[in-house]
Amino acid sequence: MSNDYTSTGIVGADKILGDKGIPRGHSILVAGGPGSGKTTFAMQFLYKGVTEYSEPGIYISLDEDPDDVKKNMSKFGWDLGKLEQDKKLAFINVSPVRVASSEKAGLIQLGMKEFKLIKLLEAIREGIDEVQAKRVVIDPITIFTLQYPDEVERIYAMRDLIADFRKTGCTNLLISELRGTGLEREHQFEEYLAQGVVLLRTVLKDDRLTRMFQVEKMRGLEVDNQPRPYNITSSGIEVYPTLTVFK
Amino acid sequence: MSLAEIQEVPEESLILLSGPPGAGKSTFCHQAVLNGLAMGKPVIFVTTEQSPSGVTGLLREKGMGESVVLSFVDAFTETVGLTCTPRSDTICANCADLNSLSMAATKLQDKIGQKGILLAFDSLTSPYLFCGADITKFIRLFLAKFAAEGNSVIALVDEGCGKEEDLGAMMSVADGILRMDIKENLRVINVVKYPKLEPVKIEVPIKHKPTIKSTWYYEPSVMRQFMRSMFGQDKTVLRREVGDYVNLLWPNLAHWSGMLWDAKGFPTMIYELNKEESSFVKEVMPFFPWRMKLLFKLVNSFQSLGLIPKSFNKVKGMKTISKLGGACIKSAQLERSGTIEYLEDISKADEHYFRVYESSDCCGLEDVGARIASHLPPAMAGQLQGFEKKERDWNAVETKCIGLGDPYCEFKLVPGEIDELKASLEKDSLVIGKIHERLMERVVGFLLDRKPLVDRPKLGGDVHLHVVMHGMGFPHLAGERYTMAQRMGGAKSGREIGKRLMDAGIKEDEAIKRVIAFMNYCKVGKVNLGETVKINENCESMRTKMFTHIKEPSCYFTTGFLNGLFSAVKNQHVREIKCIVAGDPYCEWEIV
Repeated sequence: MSNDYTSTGIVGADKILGDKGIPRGHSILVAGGPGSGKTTFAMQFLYKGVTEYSEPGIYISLDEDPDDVKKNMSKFGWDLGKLEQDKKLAFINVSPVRVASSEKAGLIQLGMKEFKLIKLLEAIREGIDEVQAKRVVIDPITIFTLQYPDEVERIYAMRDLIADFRKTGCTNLLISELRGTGLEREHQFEEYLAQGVVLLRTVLKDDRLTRMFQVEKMRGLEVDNQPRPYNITSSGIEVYPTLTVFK
Repeated sequence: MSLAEIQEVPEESLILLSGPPGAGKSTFCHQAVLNGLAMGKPVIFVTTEQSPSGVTGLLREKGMGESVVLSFVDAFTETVGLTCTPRSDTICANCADLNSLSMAATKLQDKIGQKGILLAFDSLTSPYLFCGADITKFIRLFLAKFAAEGNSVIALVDEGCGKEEDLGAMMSVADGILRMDIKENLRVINVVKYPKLEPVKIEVPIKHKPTIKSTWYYEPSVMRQFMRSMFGQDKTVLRREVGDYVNLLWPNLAHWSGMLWDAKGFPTMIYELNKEESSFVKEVMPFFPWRMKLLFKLVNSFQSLGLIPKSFNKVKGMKTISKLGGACIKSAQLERSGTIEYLEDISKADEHYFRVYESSDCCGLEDVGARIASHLPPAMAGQLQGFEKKERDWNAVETKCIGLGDPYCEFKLVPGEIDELKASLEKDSLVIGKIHERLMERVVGFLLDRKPLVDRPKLGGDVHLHVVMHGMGFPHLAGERYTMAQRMGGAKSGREIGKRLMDAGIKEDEAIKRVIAFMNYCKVGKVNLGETVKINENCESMRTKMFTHIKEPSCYFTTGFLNGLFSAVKNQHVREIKCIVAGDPYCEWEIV
């Protein structure tokens, strides 16, 4: 693989990305519905980054407790605690939801947006320094953007975040919720700002769930943007780049 | 065109097999799978109406060896609402979800990691019932694509449980269409279209096959030649070019290859076949040369005069007969399968012991920890049965054997059943592996360092063509399971030899050349390698010809052996296009 690109670590996904992977330093939005495997996707990206490509990473949690994430991921056989001990992987908890709820039950703290962005950026920089990270995941970015009810402010905050990432040279995944089935939907503004968009969509037909992986955009790469089936197996996410989805 | 021809699914082809339930589609499909395995192809079996273990059981019954592992897409268990546990060779899928089927098959394909896979889909009816006309998309976008990638696909579909136009749409994608039906006692296979073949209708009588077919057939002219070659003065009546003798390693390799494939069924089949063949001793009398006939006539008349005891139950009778040179004792010597001696001291009435020196079955397999004679004991039991006009069922079991470390072999003959017979015939895979390894060492030692194969102090390394029977030679009498063992076992041995030569750093062409030279050294026939492999006077077909009037290519062991060799060395396959049994002047294999 060329040095300008880095592997996703997801079986079959690099094939869709022109056999190359993600351009280094890019911010990729990974959007999916509930249960579509977004966090698994993100953790697989970090885990394989460390274990197969010697690229340390940080996981910034804005929602879930990192310990829960670590526990959940152990079912794929990934020992994340060990990587953390070896200083190959850092977990940073900047969850505004939980911080707020512990202080004042039921309330989400809004306001002090500049501080939030600065706080997040600081946390990222510290984390990057700590493990010499090459990969960063923010899960989910939705919580961050939620803090900016004003759309213009939201776009600026997001743009700053992405620009800052660019400077660090880290390849990063921004995890986002996808509402609806994803078949017909309004594009979220993050999709315009990010350099790449990966959709993890699920369709329920009768009582069967069909999963579709689609690279909607990947700046600087010739990609296959057809939806392809994927599966969450006992060893993580597998994408089948040559198969057609039967809906 | 024969049934066998369409039961080999060509590469880059999608064959659709349709027919009403019970037309024999699955049976046909299983045969295609076994043929694929025999060609050394990896197989992915998508099962929707039966569990993988059920399919494996059926394939084993048809002669697939215990050690063969197929890859399964199990679309049965989950579809019927049970919990499917994935294993290394089985991936679960659901008929209601076409994606799960394609993903499972793709995963196995990636794992196999090579082209030339045979994918069998039994059947499309279940996913069709769940997904409706989407199945045609699946056939087009997955199965046809899978085939186009250099693989073979055979997919089954039931006629009459869906819309006619859906069936039509399915067929429009297929490279080959076979429609099966049943008419009274005939299975009709309508070859609507097939790659490289003209449309035709094949009718096959439905038969219920016992292990051994009850009707034996002798080709009189071949039988006469065999008798002349064995008992007459002329030792080269059968094979003018290479002579009537074969190095004993070749038939032994055939035998133990068969054992390797089907350790349960094969030894019993061989025992029964050898016994049965020899029991026809009176029926084949007319074919004996006149001197032998005269001898038998004399014995007969002495018997009726009371000069020789009539029955074989007493030691005295057996002693007299042995001294006179009983047919088996005599022929064993003539065909060089061993020197037999009657042990009158330890024999009793209805319990006779014989000693065999230099048994061709066992020489070269010294001290392997098992009784290994497969041919003389049942042959002798059969002859006694024959002489007694089949009034009693004689059996024989080895009591001493070179394979057990004894200096010679001994066996006992008794009327009725012998308890330890079954145990002595069936061997566990460890023992078979050891014996096969011994043979491999001999062959490879010869191929790499020109080490001698097998030699016996008195009888030498060759045996008469007649001995070739105990490993090869009964395909049309014994049926599918036997031919499968021959072919699959042959393929295993061929592949193993090829692999070992490659591992030793021998170049591809040189490896093939050496094995061909080895076959010539063994006097398998006169083997020539050019664009094709041609064998004049191939011992396998020379022997098979005696027992059949079916004129079709029948060199199961040789074909398997060449297939295994070519696939290991050059990733090529062979196909028998001419065969002495089919009436051609020589046997020939095209290399594909």
